[in-house]
Amino acid sequence: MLTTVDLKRIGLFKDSPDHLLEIIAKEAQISIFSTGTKLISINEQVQTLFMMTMGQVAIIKKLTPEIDVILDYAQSGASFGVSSIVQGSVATYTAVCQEPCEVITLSGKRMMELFKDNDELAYSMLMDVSRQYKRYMDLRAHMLLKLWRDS
Amino acid sequence: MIDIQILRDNDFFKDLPDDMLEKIADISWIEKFENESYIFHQGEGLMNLHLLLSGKVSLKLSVADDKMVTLAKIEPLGTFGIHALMEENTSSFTAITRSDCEIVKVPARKILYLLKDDFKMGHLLMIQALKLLKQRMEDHTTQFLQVLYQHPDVANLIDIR
Repeated sequence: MLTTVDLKRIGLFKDSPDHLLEIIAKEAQISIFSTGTKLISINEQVQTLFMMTMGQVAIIKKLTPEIDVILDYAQSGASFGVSSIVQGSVATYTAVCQEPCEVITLSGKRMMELFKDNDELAYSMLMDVSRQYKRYMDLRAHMLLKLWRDS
Repeated sequence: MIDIQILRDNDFFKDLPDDMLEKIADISWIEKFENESYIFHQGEGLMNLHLLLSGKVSLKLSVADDKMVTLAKIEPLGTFGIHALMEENTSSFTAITRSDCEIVKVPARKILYLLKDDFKMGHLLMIQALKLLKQRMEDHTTQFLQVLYQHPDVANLIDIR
């Protein structure tokens, strides 16, 4: 069974209070995926929040039907599929294991069920995920800046 | 203090019940900006959440000393400056008016106090924050891919294929 110590190694939860992490730890599972496994497929519903403990996952979007762009690599401590905790979220990228990966998974549906009875858990986790999106946005702005300057 | 109807009309706040909206309306105020005014600058710590009542606002990124590119355009009833709710609240863009504007400002420090005091309010509001941030990030990613597509090296690669 996972512990709060395991979850605190994940960037998303490093500042989260222990009493909430205990609830999340009870719902989390650890899985191993082989190279080439597609964890998230673009345009499909996002059902799982993935948190990396070992390995590397590529976050991919298509530039043309023949050309893929790797937007980011998720490695130990990183998370993706974070929008699974919001109803009706659809994936805007594909996530593929670049090597054997050990990943902590959380069911988005199960977290939303827990949120109904625990507003503190909901607020804390939604805030953590929003901070993650802020970091992604800063990264995109940096990427845009670099590209514009190079063009 | 502002009229609670303003918040009811706004997508970011519309799912909150009136008792919660009243608390937010109590701490908010309206400011007027002239055309081509700066609301906040890239790199600045954001202190307020912003709701555009009237006019138009652009969110811009500085790419050189004298050049800015537009990341997003905000229309009336739109919300921006959500980053003010986070500890790392440095703005990654500049907000400039494109016409005379009326903007509601909601102080982040006070609204965070309300959210921590009432987790139900926090839950409802953060769902909206997350949806808005997700959409903005996807828009930025789309822009990135559009600019990448036009990069000479990529254009050559596409031609070869």
